[in-house]
Amino acid sequence: MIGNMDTLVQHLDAITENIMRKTAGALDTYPRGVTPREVVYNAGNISLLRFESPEGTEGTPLLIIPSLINRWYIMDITEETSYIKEFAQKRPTYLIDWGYPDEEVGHLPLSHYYHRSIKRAVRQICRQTGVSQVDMMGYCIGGTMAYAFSCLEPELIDHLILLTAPLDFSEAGVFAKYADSFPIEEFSASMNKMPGWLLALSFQFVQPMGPYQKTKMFHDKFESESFMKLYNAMERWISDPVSFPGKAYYELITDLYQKNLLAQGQLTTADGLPVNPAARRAKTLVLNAGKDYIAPVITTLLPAADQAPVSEITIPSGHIGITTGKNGKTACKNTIDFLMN
Amino acid sequence: MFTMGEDMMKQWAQNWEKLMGDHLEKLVHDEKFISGMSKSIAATMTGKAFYSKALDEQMAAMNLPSRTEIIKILQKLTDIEERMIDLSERFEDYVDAQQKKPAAQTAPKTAPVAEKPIPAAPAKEAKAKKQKK
Repeated sequence: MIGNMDTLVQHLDAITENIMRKTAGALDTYPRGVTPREVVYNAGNISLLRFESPEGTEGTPLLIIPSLINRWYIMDITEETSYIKEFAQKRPTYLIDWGYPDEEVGHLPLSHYYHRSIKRAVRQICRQTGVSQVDMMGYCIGGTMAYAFSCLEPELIDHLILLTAPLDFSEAGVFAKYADSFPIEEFSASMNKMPGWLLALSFQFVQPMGPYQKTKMFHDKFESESFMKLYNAMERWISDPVSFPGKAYYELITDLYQKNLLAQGQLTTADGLPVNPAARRAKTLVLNAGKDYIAPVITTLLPAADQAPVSEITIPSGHIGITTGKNGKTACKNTIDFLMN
Repeated sequence: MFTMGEDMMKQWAQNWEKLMGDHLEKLVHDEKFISGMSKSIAATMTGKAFYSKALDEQMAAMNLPSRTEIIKILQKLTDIEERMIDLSERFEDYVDAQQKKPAAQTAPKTAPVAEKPIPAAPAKEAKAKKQKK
């Protein structure tokens, strides 16, 4: 009986994943990212992308660390809103594509991503361009990882931009509440990954009126061509979920959300290296979103031990809106100004 | 008359949205609700772990590899791949370091033998030669 049924959760996972992928397939006319690019390096699931820049584009290369929770192309979703397109005009621009991690990487720790993988990418960029330092921008959890990396390898980063990156999880809003009581041990005993569809559902869950408001907005604006272009591109991105590797998810919930080790300077990598905020030297821009419920402004503040030079700008938008909304252009301009000066 | 009805509907919809929004917002932030949700998720996950274990045992009884075992093999392969990447990086660093050494240091003082260039990445060169052919 059990053998024939398999487990309920596995079935549900497979069916939902399949439906979401099919939806994504239907929206396949919307590409995953609009700026031309090439894969310059591969390591397992992870790829390093280099975006096309005008000939003669020089300067310190910029490495973008996207979130592990969703796909990277939210920063390159249409020509009109693309951060990456703007960056690539000014600097050699690279990005780590985390791919679609599955159960085969479920045993890898979070430090595999925030230290080992980022270091490999930086090493490749340095080898290819002959530089000894890169500029780095991290978005959401990607920002948290970029920050941890800048603590571990301070000599490799010149400028660091933290775009709505949660660092201090002591008051991380509604997600902290859920993380505190999340049955993490049961999760760890039963799953090798946090399924992408379940993550997507949890984001919808904490905004219960979100689907209604989205439908209302669609009804009001669907005749606008520019709105429809962005709307469809966003839908395509939403229906392209990514699973979070099991052990890394366990560490994200326990070490960061529950114990807040990063802000306290007590986080260590799987190899026992301390992630020490006091060791950081990179010139830093903290770019946060005033209406962010995923990474509220208070969570984006740097730890007290951090002595690196820091500027802070708050944009009046939400967590996703800061990349695609009407204020996204201001955020992008602030980032470029920071990098160029 | 029609406009008035439409306005009323709009007003009603706005009120409903606000009411529902406030209510649901309170609900999803409520500690008791969150705790109840967590217990429900914990029960589902415990059930899943139980069924997975039972299934693994059934597969083992039939002398077949279970899903858990296949995943373990995949994870071992990932570990091997990781080690390979680390080793190739160390090899590349070694080659780079050798190439950076000044010729005077690398060449033996009394040996008038022409230096062979050290291949940067033997595998890649071989591949490139194959492609030329």
